[in-house]
Amino acid sequence: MKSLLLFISFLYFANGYAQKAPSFGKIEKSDLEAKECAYEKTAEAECIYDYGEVNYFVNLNSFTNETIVWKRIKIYSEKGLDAANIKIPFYARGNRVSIIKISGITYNIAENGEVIKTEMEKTAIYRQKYSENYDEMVFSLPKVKVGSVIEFRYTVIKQNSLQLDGWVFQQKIPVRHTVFDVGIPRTLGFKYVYATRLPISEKNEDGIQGVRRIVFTGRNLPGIKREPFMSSVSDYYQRVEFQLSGVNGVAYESATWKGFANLLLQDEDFGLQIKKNIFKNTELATTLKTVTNPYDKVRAIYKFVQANIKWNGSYEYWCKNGTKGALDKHEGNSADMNLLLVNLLRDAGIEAYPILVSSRNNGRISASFPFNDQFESVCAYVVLGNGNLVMDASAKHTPFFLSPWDIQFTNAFLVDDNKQQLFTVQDIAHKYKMVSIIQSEITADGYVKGGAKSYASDYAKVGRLTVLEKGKDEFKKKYYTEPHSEFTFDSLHIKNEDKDSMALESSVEFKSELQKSGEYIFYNLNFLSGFDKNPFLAEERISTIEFGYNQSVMLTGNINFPETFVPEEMPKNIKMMIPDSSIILQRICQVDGNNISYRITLQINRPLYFADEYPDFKAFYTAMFEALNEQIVFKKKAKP
Amino acid sequence: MKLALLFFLSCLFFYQLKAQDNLSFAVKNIADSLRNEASSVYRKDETTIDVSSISEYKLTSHQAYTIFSEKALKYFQYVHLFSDKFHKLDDAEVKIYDSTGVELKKYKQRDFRIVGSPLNDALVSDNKNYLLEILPKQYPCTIEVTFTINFNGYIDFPDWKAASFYGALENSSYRINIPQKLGLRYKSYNTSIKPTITTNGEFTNYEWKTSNVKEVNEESGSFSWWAYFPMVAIAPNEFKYDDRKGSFETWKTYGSWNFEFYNEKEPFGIADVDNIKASVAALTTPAEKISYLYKKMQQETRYVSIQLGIGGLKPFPAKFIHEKKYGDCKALSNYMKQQLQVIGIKSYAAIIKSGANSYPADPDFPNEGFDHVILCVPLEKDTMWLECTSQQTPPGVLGTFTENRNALLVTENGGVLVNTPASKKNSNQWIAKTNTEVFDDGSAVVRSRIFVSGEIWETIFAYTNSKSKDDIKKALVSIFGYKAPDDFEFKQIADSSTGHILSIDLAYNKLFDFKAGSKHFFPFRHYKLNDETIEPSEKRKHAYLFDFPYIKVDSTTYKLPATFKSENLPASKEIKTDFVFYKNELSWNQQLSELMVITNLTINKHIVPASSFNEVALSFMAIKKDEAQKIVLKME
Repeated sequence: MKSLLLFISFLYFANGYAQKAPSFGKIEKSDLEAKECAYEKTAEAECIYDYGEVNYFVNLNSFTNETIVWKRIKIYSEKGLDAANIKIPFYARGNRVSIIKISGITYNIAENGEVIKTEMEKTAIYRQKYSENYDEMVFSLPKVKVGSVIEFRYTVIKQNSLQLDGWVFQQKIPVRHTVFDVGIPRTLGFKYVYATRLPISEKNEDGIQGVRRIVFTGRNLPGIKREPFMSSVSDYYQRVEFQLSGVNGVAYESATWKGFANLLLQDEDFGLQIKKNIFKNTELATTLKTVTNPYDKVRAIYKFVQANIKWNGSYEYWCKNGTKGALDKHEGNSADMNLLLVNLLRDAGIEAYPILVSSRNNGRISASFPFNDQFESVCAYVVLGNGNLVMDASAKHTPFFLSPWDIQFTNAFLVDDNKQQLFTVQDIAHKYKMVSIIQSEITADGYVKGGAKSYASDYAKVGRLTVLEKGKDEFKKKYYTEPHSEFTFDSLHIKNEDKDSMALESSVEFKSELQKSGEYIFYNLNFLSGFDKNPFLAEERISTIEFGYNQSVMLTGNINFPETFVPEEMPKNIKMMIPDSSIILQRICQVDGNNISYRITLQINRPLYFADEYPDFKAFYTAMFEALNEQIVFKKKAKP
Repeated sequence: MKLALLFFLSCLFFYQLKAQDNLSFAVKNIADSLRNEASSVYRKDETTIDVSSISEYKLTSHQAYTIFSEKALKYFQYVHLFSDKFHKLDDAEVKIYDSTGVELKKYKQRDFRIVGSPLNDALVSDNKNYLLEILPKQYPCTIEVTFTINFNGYIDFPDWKAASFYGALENSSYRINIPQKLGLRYKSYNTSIKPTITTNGEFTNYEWKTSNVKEVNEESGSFSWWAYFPMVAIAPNEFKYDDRKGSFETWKTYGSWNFEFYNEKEPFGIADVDNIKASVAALTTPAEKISYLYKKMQQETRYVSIQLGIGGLKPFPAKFIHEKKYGDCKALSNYMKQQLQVIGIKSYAAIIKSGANSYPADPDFPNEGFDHVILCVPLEKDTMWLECTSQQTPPGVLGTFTENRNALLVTENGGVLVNTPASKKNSNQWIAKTNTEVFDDGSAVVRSRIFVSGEIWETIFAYTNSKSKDDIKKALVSIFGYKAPDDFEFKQIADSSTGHILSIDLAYNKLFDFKAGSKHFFPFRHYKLNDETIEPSEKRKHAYLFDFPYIKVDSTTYKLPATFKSENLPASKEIKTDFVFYKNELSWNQQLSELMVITNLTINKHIVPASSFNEVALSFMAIKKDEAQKIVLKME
């Protein structure tokens, strides 16, 4: 411990920080007096110091992993008070993991300026059940109010565990100083990867007794908040992850992508499930006899799996029931379903492979090393003459020819002993495609009524089917009444739900009183576009905007208006483009007698926009929404 | 492992062959009048309670419901049961049948997952939660759930619900068997069903039954279900919980049982007593002293819920809160009470059912149904109510969480049911004064000073406190309906005892909504004053409740370049009913080139009886229409 302290202080010196190393139980008075976080003024709390230290202890042939965690937090506002309620979940089965030496202190400042230190009593620490296999240690620090500084530390002991948990440098609240100090015995080989944008310094040294010490340090890291069209929040946390690569100099097979693929293929719950002889005992053996086109075969097999297995809601890449078991029980996880899919496809003579995936929501896959924790599920990859397909049988609304939306533009790992490789799932042949045709009539008393037909294809259809699953009322609410609350909608009809090659057609009748002011009457063309409110209001952005598809939206309509109205102002015919031409908005609007016809098309031809492009993107979106919301102004004719 | 699994599966298979199908669950047996494809039908809902003593009873529940489509599954997807120190789940079984009543699947108690306890807001509790997720493979299907819970301590009995929100009810029954010497009380609400009462030796048996009841639909904005849902409340006369005997025959006796929880002989040490006394020595009136201690507590403590053993009813002692400065509603109320006791002010814990627009407790039928504790301080002239879990509410103000109902005061002479204050429009205000300076090119600077209080402040606080500028911008646009500004500054500039003053300055590159030739169309104001969603309905059955009564006044001034002239201003509008007041006035001063829009929207009474519902709803339709108008200004 002493040498460690020395080491840390050396590190500070090297970094040019003249501060002393923090010590538990002693705080800087300036932290108590601070009213706001210097580098993030609106933060509700700030993690002043976040320290983790990992050591391995060898005892005969077993390892004990000991991790010391120590956090010091300043509370700036009422919302930050929750930081004083701490829950530490841990794996409780088999009693191999324990949380010990929990202690906590709250610091306040008295009216006379004196620092008051209150230690947490041991009786305030509870252990309760968290889930089937996990318990949690729970405690709440005493005398915490706005302005307090709190700190707590504990030690996690893991018996017989080689597993080295990573460290997340960043949190929801800003972190002033984070240190992760890992001591790895020579006998253990670890690979590690960073996910960092902000500077994290790293010191790698041979310590005493053949222990390699790696110390990661980060400073003034901003808090992470959710942004619209952001993939996984966790992608943006600065972090480091470890995976065991060998013991006593012998490399783990799983330490290479090829080795990893081989292990998977030999596993009873993965590769062997693809080999089970199932095809000939299913109806497919007879129904596919007459089908010669491989494309139709794939469709039939995909539908067969979906029709016969109910997804249990869980994404895994290990089977739960097995391919055969899932078919017998009519239930399974994503691995059961997709490995069965691969199994059946292969038996039908189609070239198919399992691929490991991680949805955008789950976080990005690092290409440098086969960290198996980073994968979330398994899908199927099919090689066809006219283009390859990525399929997830658990995505029941996604047709077989469409790459699942949640893994679009993510990395996937193709599992095969020869062709194993990382590749990017990208389906740009299919878009989010909406077409709406609107016929409306304005009455002399200032009402509008009419009918609208909308056609949703590809990703737009998948989205709409997911809502439709919750009921027609929900569908009506989401796509009609919520965006256009001033309208009433009737006679909603939906067609082609089950025809995977056809657009989802929904038709309604609508009615509303038009907005008016004195002799002016207003008509908004931005009706049923799905672009009602600009989600990109924030001035700044740290994450990539990920739509997950290219988009194409078209609105076309006819408006009949009465003799007594004169169109006083028409939205102009426009074509506007973002500088790189990836977004184009076009509008044509013309009057012909008592009829106005219009067409609005919007093309967004990129699935993602990077944070450094945000200023342009935001400026375009602002202008685009202004243009979309331009209205037709009618004036009532003075009586002749 | 695999072998064991195989063995298990084959056992299951073998068992399935012998499984007891229940053909009476066949879907064809359901009357057409009860079928609703989007919903479900309760085939059976039987509750049996065998009371063996003043502290013990066994509850057996047997339910079966048929689901016609996956859409209705959301209400039934999870079977959630729980145990704690006083309830032990002894037996649970779930079976799934196909449409003909043939058993498809069976789950035993061991198939339930044990999940983390805090489904509520408790940081720590000793509940053990059992959860089973049901995944039917086919529809229609029938799910049958049976379970037994043994109680070894109780205060109340479950109610009987003679209908359901989630589907029609084919058969429902509730039977309770209780020793005659204990006896019970019951009261029907929104139903006239009477029990069959039989005696059997030392026991009396009560049974309620009903069949073929249609689904009850909830109306938006109505009272909680007590107001209209058919049900029977059943309550013990005497009970024993955590080894403490009590009586529920009157509110008075139940209050007595609670009194000991809030009666501490020496809550603080001598030094603490002196400190508390000294801290208020310079203050004169009791109200000042109470306010001082209350605000101090608001600053020093925070809400943390710890529910262990009898912790659902009994607060931690005041000393615990004094040392740790955290606790739940009971503990914080008790802490405040004991401090007031020290300075010679008497106060009472008040047990209450919380939540906006909750239905009051029945004065004629004492029964447990509370979930919150506040503090009541009777003073010579007025009574001060204190919500001890809030860091924001001013002393003496409750808010809609506990207003407009009754609470059980726990006094040395037993329980007393008293009314909490009615919500007042004056407590919830939004008074905005806005100067808008419009420039030749249509750009503008908007400066507002706004006085905000009560519930409206709670909303503002939630969306702006400790929020980044971008988050505040998002809230201004999506919650308050502001037109998205190109730049802005939001500040809380002052606080008073009754409310808070905000300053919101906004800059727009283009303020007008659109222009037609030389005509510019401006909104009445830069945000929405009216955010009510009430809409007329042909068949409103129950009272409608606004969240709270309020006064909102907005005066917006447009200072325009001299080149602007007003074209026919929209007419002023006034709506005045018992419930709503709306007035919108516009005036144009050509000399100053100034346009002024003054709007007042007041909800006088927030509870609207069904008979007045449409009148109020139509008023709001008219208000919405008026607010959407544009001001037309012509540039010369």
